[in-house]
Amino acid sequence: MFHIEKYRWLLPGLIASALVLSLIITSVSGIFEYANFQLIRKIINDDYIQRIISFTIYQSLLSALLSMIIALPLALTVRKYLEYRIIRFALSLAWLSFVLPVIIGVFAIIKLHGVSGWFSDISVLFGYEKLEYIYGMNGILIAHIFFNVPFATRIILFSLNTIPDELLRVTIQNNFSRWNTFTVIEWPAIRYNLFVTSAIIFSLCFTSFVVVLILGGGPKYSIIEVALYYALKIEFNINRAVSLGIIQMIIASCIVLIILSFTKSFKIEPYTKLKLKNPSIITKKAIVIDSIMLIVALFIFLLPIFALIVSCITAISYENIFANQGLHNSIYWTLVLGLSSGIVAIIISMMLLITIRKLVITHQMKWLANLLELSGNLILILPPILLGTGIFLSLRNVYNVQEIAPYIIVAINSLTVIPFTLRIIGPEYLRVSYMYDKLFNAHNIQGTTRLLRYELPILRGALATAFAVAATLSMGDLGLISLFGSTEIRTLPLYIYQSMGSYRMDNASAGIFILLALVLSIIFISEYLLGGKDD
Amino acid sequence: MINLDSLSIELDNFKTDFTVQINRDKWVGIIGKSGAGKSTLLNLIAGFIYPDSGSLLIDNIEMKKYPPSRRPVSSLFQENNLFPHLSVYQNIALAIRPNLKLSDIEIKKISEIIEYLNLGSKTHSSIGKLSGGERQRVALGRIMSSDKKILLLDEPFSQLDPNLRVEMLELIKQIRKDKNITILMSIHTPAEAIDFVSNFLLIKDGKVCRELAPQDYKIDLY
Repeated sequence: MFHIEKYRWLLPGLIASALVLSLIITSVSGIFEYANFQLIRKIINDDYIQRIISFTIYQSLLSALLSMIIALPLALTVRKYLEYRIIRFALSLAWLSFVLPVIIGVFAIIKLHGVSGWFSDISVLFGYEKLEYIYGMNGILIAHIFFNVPFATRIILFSLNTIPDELLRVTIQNNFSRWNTFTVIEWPAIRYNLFVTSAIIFSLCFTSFVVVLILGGGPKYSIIEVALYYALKIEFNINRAVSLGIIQMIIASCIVLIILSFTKSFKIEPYTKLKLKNPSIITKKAIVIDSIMLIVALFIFLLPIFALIVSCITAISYENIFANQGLHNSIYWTLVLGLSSGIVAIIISMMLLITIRKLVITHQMKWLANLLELSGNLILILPPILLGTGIFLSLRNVYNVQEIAPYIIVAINSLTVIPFTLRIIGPEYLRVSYMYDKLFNAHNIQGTTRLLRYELPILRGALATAFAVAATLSMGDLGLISLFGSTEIRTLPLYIYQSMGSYRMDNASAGIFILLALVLSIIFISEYLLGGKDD
Repeated sequence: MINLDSLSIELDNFKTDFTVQINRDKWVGIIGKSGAGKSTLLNLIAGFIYPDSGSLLIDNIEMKKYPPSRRPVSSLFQENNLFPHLSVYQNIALAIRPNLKLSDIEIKKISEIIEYLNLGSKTHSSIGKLSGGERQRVALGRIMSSDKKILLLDEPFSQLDPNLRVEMLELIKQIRKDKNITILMSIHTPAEAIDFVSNFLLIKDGKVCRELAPQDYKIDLY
C-alpha cells in the first residue's frame, strides 16, 4: 500500500523545485517564442554581434589574466606580513570591494579615475589636461582588477595556508632560495585553485553588466548582456535581444559546466592566524621590494575606497538627503525588494534542503537529491537579465508587466541568489543532521517540531549569513531593475545610475552613501543580531 | 656545547626565561606539562622564533644573528616532515640541494642513507604509500643528509604505536653513535626513553626547572 503520509517530506522540495522550474520555463519559452532560427543565423553572422561576442570573451580573458598576474605576487608578499594588524585590516577592506554592490565599486573608481576624479584634479593642478582614460577598455579592466584581485588574493592566501608550518620550517632550515620555496612548496599548493579561480573570474567578467554598462561608454565596448539590454530597452529590437540571449545561454552553460567539473575539490578554508616569522625570507633586500609592492597595492585598492568615503561624507546635506523625494522612494523600494528577495530565497532554499536532507541521509537517494539541487543551481546558466527578458516576453501579452514588476523582480532576484544560499546553509544543515539524527530519532522528534524548535535555532548563524548575502546581492541589482523599473518603482542602484547619467553627481553620492549604509547595516544586523555572532 | 643564558621571548602573555648548558654528544629528554614551553625552547634554538633578550651560544658562537639555515641544527617534527608530492629520494635529497640537482657523489651519499635506513625498496615511492614509521625514517634520512651536529626532536614519535616508538629510538641511538650528534628531544612519555637519554630537563612555566637522571623521571614535580 502506498501511504501518502509517509512521503510528505518530499513535498517541500518538489514544490520549491516546481516553482523555480516554472519561472525558468516561462522565461525560456518566452525567448523561444520569438526565436526564428533563420533570423538568428542572420543576426549571428552580423558584424556587430560578432564583434560583441569576441569583445565579451576578449575582455573576460584579459581581465582574468591581469587579475591573476597581480594577485599571485601580491598574495605571496602579503602572506609574509599577515601577522601585522594593518595588513589584515587592509585585506578585509579590500575584500569589501568584492562583497558590496558593484555600482558602489564602480562609483569609487569613477571618483578616483574619472574625468572629474582625484587623479584628473591632480593633473589639472599641475597644469595638464583632464584625464579621460576611464571610459572604454581601460575602465573595464581597472574595475575588473579592482573587484577581482582581492578575491583572487584571498583564495591564493587560503591555499598557501594549507601548507603546514613544519614544511615551511624544513625549507627554512635547508636554505631554500625564494624561487625554490615557490616551486617546491608554494606552487603545488596553489596551482589547482589558481586555475579554478581564473575560471570563476572569467565568468564574473563575462557577465559583468554594471561595470560595462557604466564604464564601457557605448556600443563599441559592449558585452553580450549589455547589448541585450540595449536591444530590448533602447532599440526595441526583440529579434536581436533573443539571439543575444540564446548565445549568452550557450556560452554561459559551457562556462558553468567547466567550473562545476573542477569545483568538486575546490575548497576555501578560513585562514588560521599565521604566527610564524619567516627569517630567511624577510631579508633587507626583500623588505624594500615588498614595501613597494604593498604600497602600490594599497594605492590601487584602497585609494578608490578612500575617494568613495570622502565623496559620501561631502554628499551629506539637507537638500541631497532629507529634501530628496526621489531618494526616499528609492530607499523604500530597495528595502522592500531586497528584503523580500532575501526572505523568499531563504524559504525556497530551506524547502529544497529539507527534502534533500531526507533523501541523502534517510533514503540514500543521492541522485534525486542532486537533481533537486540542480534545479536550484539552474539559474547559473541564465543570467538574471536574460531570465527577466524571457519573463517580460512571455507575460507582456497577458499582464501589464509594469504592475507585476515588483513580483517579477523579487522572484528573479531570489532565484539568482539561491545557488549562494544553498551553498551556505546546505553543508551546515547536513552536518547538524548527521550529528543529531540519532538523538532526534531516539526521542521521536520529527516534522515541524524538529525543524522549528531544534534545527532552525541551531542553523541560526548560517541562515543569517545566507540572508545577508541574499538581501545585499538583491539590493545591489541594477540589471533587472533597469529592465523592469519605472519612475515609480526605482531602487537605489537605478537612482544612482540615472543620477550619474544626468551628471547629478551629488545626488549619486547621496544614493551611494545610503546604499552603503543600508548594505552594511544589513550585514551587521544579520551577522551579529540575528546570527548571534557575539554569544 | 649549547649554552642558553636567560633566553627569553614573550608569546601571548607567556614569557620564557631559559638558562641551561647542554654538553656535546648528550641526548637530552625534555619533559614537562603541555604548554610549559618545550616546543618554544626547541624553536628558539632552531631559530624559528627570535628571542627578545638573552643569549644562545653553540660552541661559543652567538647564534642569534644566524638564520635557521646557517645554524648547525636540524629538526624533526611530530608530523608534516615530508613533501607529499616528492619521492622518498627527493625528500632526502632536498637537504643537500633544494633544487634536487645532485652530483654523482651526492647521489651516492643519498643511496647510502636510504640503505642505512632500510628503505632501499622504497627509494622512488611517493610519500602517500609509506607507513607512519617509514615516513619518520625518511625524515630522519633528510636530517642525516644535512650533516648537522645537533638534532631537535619535537615529540617526534607520538603519532606512532608504542613498539614502533622504541624501534625509532633504537634507530636514533644508532645514528647518534655513528655520527656523534647531540640530541634534544621533547617527549611526553618519559618512561619509554629512560634507556636512551643521558638525562632529562624538566621545563615548567617557561623555565628550565631542574635536571634529572633518567631513572628519576618519576619524581613528581609536575
